[in-house]
Amino acid sequence: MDSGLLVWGVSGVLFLVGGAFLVLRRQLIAMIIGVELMINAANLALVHAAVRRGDAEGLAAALLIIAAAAAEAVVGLWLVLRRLRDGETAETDSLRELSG
Amino acid sequence: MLLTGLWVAPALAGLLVWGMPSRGSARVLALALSGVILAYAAWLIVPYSAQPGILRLEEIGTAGAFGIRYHLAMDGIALCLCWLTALLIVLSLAASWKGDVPPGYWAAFLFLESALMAVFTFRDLFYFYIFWDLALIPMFFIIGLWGSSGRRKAALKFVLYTFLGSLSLLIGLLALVTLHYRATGMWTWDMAELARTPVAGPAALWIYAALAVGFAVKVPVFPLHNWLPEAHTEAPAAGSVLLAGSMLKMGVFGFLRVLVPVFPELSLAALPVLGGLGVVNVIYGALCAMAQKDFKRLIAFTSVSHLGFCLIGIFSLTAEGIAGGCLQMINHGFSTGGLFLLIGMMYERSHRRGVDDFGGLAATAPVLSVYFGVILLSSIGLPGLNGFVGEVMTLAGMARASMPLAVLGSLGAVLAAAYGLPAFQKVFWGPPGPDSVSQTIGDLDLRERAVLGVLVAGIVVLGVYPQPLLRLLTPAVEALALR
Amino acid sequence: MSAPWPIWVLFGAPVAALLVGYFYCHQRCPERTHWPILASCAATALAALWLAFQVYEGAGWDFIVYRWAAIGGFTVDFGVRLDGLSASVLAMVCVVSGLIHIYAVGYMEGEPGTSRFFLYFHLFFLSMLGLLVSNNYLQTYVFWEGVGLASFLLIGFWYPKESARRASWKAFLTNRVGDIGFILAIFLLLREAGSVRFEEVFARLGNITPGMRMTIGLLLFWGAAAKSAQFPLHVWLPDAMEGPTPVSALMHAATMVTAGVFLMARSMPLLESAPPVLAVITVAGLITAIGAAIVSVSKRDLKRILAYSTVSQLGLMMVAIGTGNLVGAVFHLITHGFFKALLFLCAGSVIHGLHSSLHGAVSAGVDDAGGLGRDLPYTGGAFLVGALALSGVPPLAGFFSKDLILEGALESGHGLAALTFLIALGSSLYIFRMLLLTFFGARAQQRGPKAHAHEPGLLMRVPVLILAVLSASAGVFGGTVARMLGFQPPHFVLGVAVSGTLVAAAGFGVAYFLTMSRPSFDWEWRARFPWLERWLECDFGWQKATDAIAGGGAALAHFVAGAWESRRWDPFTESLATGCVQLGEGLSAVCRGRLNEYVWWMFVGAAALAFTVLLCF
Repeated sequence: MDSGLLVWGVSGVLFLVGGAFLVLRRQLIAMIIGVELMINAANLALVHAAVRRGDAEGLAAALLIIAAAAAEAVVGLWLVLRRLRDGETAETDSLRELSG
Repeated sequence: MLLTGLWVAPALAGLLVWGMPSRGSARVLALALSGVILAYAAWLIVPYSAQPGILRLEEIGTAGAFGIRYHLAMDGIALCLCWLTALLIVLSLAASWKGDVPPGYWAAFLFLESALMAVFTFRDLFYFYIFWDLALIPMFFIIGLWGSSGRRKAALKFVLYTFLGSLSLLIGLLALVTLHYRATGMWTWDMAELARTPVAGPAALWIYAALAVGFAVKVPVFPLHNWLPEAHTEAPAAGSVLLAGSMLKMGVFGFLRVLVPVFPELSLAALPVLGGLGVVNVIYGALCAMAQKDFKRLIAFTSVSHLGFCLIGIFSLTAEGIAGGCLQMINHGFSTGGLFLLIGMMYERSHRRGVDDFGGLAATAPVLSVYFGVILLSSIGLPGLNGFVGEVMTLAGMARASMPLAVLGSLGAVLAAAYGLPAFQKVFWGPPGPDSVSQTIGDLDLRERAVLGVLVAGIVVLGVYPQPLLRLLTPAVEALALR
Repeated sequence: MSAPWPIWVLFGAPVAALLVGYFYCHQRCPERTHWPILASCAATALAALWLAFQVYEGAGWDFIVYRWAAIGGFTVDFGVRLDGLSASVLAMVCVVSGLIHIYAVGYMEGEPGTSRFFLYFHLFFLSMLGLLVSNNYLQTYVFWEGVGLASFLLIGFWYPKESARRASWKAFLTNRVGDIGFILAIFLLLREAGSVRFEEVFARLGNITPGMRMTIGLLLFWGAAAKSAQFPLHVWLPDAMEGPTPVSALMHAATMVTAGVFLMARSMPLLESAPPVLAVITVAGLITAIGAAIVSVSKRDLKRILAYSTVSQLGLMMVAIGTGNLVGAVFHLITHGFFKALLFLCAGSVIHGLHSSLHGAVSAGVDDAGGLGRDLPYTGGAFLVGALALSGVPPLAGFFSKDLILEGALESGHGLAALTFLIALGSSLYIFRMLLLTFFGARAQQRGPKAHAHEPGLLMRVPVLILAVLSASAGVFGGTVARMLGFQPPHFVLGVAVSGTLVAAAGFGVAYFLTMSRPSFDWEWRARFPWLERWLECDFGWQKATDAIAGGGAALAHFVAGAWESRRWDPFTESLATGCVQLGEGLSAVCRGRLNEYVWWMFVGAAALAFTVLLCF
C-alpha cells in the first residue's frame, strides 16, 4: 500500500475526529484538544506534501504552525484556567453571553 | 507631483492639525494650512495653462494588479471644482472660528478636502471609488459629533444611505471592468481606456443603471434624495456648506466623468429618464422648499432643486448645457454655501433657525440682511448674479435637446420666487418672532463680513462676467458634448 | 463707429452713484444719500438728451462691449444699441426719472429709510437704462429682471405693513410667470437663429418657420404682458400702489411698465413676420384697455384709479403694436410717460397735503378728498393739465399720440376703431371723474375741506410744473419720434382728430353729470349694488382666480412636502433600515449561545465556500 495514501488517510481521520470533538463535546478542554487534533492533522498533510515535493518552505510552514498551535494552546488553557479559578465550570453550556 | 500634492497636502495638513496639543493652535494652523492649499490650487492655473492647446495636467503610473494604475489628470471641470472646494474649506473654517471644538474637527475638514480633491482628479476608477467612499468618513464625524440635536440619526442615515449608493456604484464598476476584460482581454480601471472600448448589449444597460443610481444618491436625484434634508439640517454650518457646496458635486461630477464618456449612446437615450428626473428635482425640491418652516431645511431642499438644473444641463448633452451644469455646480457652491453660513451665523447668535422665529432683521441687522438678500437673489436665479448663468445655460441646452423638458424646467424660476422671497420677507421684513431674539441678534462682525464678502464678490463677478470661467471649461465640455 | 463717451455716462454715473451712495453715504451720512444720486440723474439726463439729438441727426450705434458667455450653440455678447427707438424712450425716461428723483427728495423727507429708498430707486433707474440700450434679448432679460427686483424692493419699501409685503411678492411672482415666456423665447431664438442679438435675429427671420416665429412672438408677448400689466397678468400692478407715490409714478406708470411695450416695439420685425401674434396682441390689448377703464371708473382709491388708468393706457399701446403702428405706440409711450407721471405726482401731492388727516395710511381715497381745488390750486391746476392730456384734448400731448393710435386702428378696421374710441371715452371718463371728485365740489360724504390740505414745497412743485409743461407741449415731438424711428412724420386726419376730441368731451360730460349734477351718485350705486362693486373690485373675478391658482400652488407644495415627503416617502426609506434591524433581531434567534453550534455552523459555512469555489473554477 502506498505510504502516501496512509498518511492522507490518517490526516483526514484525525481532522474529522478533531472536528467531532469541537462540535460534540461540551468540555472546553476537550474542544481545545479537538482544535489541536485538527491543526496536527493539517500539519501532518503539510509535512508529507513538503517531503514528497522536496520543498523546504512547506517544512518551515509546519514549524510555524507548531509554534502557533503551542501559543494557541497556552492562551486557550489559560482562559479555561481563569474560568475554573472564578469558581465556574468549564462547560460550554455555562457560556451563554454570545446568545443573540 | 503637482496633482499628487493637491490631495496629499490636505491629508498631511489634517494629520498635523489633529496632533496639535490645544484647540487654539489647531484652529490657527488649520486655517493657515487651508489657506496655503487654496493658494496652491489657485496657482495650478499657471502650469495648467502653460502649454497652450494641451490644457491638461496629468500624472500616470504603471499599471499594477488588475490594471489598477495611479492616474491623475486635471481638466477645466476638475480645476474649477478643486478651486471651489479649497475656497469653501477656508471659508467654512473661518466661519466656525468661534466654535469651541477639538482639533479633530478642524482635521476632519482637511481630510474631507483631501478626499474631494482626489475624487476630482483621479482618472483611475479604482482610486476614484476608494476616495469616493473615504469622503464619507470625515463628514460622518462632522455631522455625528458636532451637529445639532438630531445629529446621530442624521449621520447614520447619511452614511447608510450613501453607502448603499456606493455599493451600487461598486457593483457597476466591477461589472464594467470585468466586462471590459472579457471583451478586450485587458484589465483596466482607467476612465479613458474604458471610454475607448464601449461595452454594449443588455449588460451595458444594467451597468449604466447601477452607476447612475450610485451617482444619483450623491447628487441627490429624486427619489433618492431624502438623506439630504436631514443631513444638511443637523450638520454644523460649516459641514452643511461643504456637504452642499462640494460633496453633492461628486455625484454630478460622476455623471460627467464616468457615465457620459463611457456610455455616450446610452446617455443620449437616457434624456427622457435622467433629464426628466432633473426636471422633477427642480420642481419637487422647490415645492418642498416652499412648505418648510426650518430655514436650514428650506435651503437643503433648494439644493435638490438647484442640482436638478445640473442634471438637466448634463443630459441635454449639448456644450452649453454641460457647461451650464458645471457653472451651476460652482454657483450653487457659492450661493447655497453662503446661505448655510448666514443661517449658521444667525443660529450662533440666537439658537434658532425657524423662519417664524425671526422678524424685522432688516432693521436690527442691516448688514446681515444685505448679504442675505444678495445671496438669496443669486440662489433664486436673479440675472446679473451667478445663479442665473447656470440656469439659463442648462435650460438653453435642454431647449435644443427637448423643448418640453426645458419648459417644465423653467417653471423652477417661478417656484424659486415662491420659496425664496416669502421666507426672506418674513425674516427680514416681517413682524418679530415670539421672543426677543430678533431685537438682540446683533449684526455681523468683521470676520463674518470678510467671509461673506468673498462669496458675494464671487457671486457678482461670476454673474456679470462668466466668460473667463466658461473658457476654462470649454475644452473639457466640448469633448463631452454629443448634440 | 466708435462709441461716444456719453454712452458710458449712462452706465458709469448710476453705478458710481450707487457705489458711493451705499458704501459711503448710506453708512456715514444717510441723510445725504440722494446727493450723488441726483448728480447721476443730471449727468445721465444730459447724456441721454445729447445722444437722442445725435440719433435724431442720423447717428446710431450698435456695438458689442464684451462677451458674456459663449459655448456651443450659446453665444451671448453684451452690448449697446442706440437707435431711434431706444434713444427716444431713453430721453423720456431720463428726464422723467430725474424729475421724479427730485420730487422724491421732497416727498420722502422725514421718512425713515430715505437713504435706502434712493438706493433702490436708483438701482431701478440703472436697470431701466440697461434695458433700453441693450442690443440683444438676453441682456434685455437681465435688466428686465433687474427692474423687477427694484420694483419688488420698492413696493415693499414700507415693509412692516403686511399688505406691502404681499404686494411686492405678488409683483415679483407674477413677473416671473411672465419671464418664463420671455426666457423660453430666448431659448428658441438661440436654437433657431443661433443668436439673441436684435439685428442678427431680425436678419435671420427667413430661416425660421412661420409656426416657430409665431411661438416665439407669443412667448415674448407673454413676458411683455406681465411687465406691462396686460390681461391676464395685470393683477400685480394695482397692488403695487402699496409703494411710495414717487415709485408708483416712475415705475408703475411712466417707465418700468412700459418696458413690455418697448420690448414689443423692439421685436416689431419679428412680430410683423407672424401676423397671428399681432392679432393676439390687439385682442389682449383691447380686453385689457376696456376692462381696466371700466374698473378704473369704479375705484375709490386715488392711486388705484391711476393704476387702472395705466393698465388701460398700456393696453392702448398694445393695440397700437397689434395694428403695426410702431410710431403710435412709441409716441404714446413717451407722452404717457409725461402725463401719467404728472398725474401720479399730483396724486402724491394730494396725499402729502392730506397727510395729517390720513392717520398713517399711504394713500388717499375719494372720501378723503373733495373740493381740494381751493386748498391746492397749484396741484389742481397741474392735475387738470394732466387730465386734459390723458383724455386727448388738443393741443396737449395725449391728443397727438392717441390720435395716431386711433388713425392706425381705423386703417385696420371699423370695429377695431370703434373699440379704440371706446377706450378713449373710458379714459376721459375716469380721469375727469377723479379730477372732479378730488378737486371740486366736496360732497356730503367727503372730508376734503376739513382736512386743511397744504401745498407741498418747492422741491415737489418744480418737477410737477416741468412735467405739466411737457405734458402740454410734448405733442410737437410727434414728427421727431417718427423720424427717429425711420418713418415719415404722421399726417393729420381731421376727422379722427375731431371725433377724438368729441369723445374726450363726451367723457367729460358724463363724468360731470355723474359727479357734479348728481354728486352722491358714486356712493349711491355702491350702496344699491354691492355685488357689482365686489365684482369690479376683483377685476371681474380674475383676481380671485389668480389667488386660487396661487393658493393651489401653495396647497400642492404642502401636499408634496407634508403628505408625501414627510409622511410617506421618508418613513418608507427609513423603514428599510429599521426592517434590516428587525431582520437581524429575528435571525439572532439562531444564535443561542452554544459554542458547539457556532463551530458547527462554521464548518457548514466553510464547506459551502469550498464547494462554491470548486464549482466555479
